[in-house]
Amino acid sequence: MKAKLLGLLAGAVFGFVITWARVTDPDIIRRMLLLKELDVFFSDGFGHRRRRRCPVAAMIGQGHLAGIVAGAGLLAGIALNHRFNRRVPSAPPASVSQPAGL
Amino acid sequence: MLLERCPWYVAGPMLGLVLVGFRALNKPFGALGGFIDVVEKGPLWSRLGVSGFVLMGMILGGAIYAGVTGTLQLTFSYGTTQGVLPTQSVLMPAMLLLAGTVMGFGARLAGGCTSGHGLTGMSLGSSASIAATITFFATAVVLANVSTWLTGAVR
Repeated sequence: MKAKLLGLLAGAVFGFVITWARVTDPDIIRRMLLLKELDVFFSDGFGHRRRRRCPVAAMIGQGHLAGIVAGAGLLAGIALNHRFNRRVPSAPPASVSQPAGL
Repeated sequence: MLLERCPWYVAGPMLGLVLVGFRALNKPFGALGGFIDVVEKGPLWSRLGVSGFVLMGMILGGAIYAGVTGTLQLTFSYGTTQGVLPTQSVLMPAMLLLAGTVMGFGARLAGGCTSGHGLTGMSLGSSASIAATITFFATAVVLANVSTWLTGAVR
């Protein structure tokens, strides 16, 4: 339970900071991708990577309910992937390095 | 002060500290893990793992910011991102749902999202995460420019 509470706290700080940094604003993200908001990339590289992280959750918290639709899509995509993987025989373990987390 | 956009040299280190602190739990930090938790274990609080609580925390953090600054506003509007997205009430949610589905499928396939690969994976020097991050950022930059060109949207 302690780990879950710490997770909740870490997520809350994270959500607060990315909302404060306006990374939940689709226009900011678009300008970043058009290479007009390069500071967003810089913040990614400072200390640790990034801040343009999955803003859907923090968007919902802000009251931007369109995030719920995108979030529902994310859940559907993950479920779809599970279904897809069940149909495909599992491959032997790869020797490439694995990502540290999801 | 909070109404001003947080500068990168404040936001970056703060996010880094969150990540370092989270390492104490020896758990990967990322948003997709929370969504996977919800898909696999259902939305019940009692069944959610740490990742699910991180996701709930992100929603809470956004709500706290909006509450503190008085910017909490319940709306379905997503804006038009300067003319790239359709403004019709049916097309917009459909596009968001489709985009979310592709994101969820792709991120699961890649073994992580921007948080997992870009934050946790890259900071730990994972070559797979570095490759994934370069790939999705490069793809996104190209697509943003192509969609702007195709729609004649404001740059």
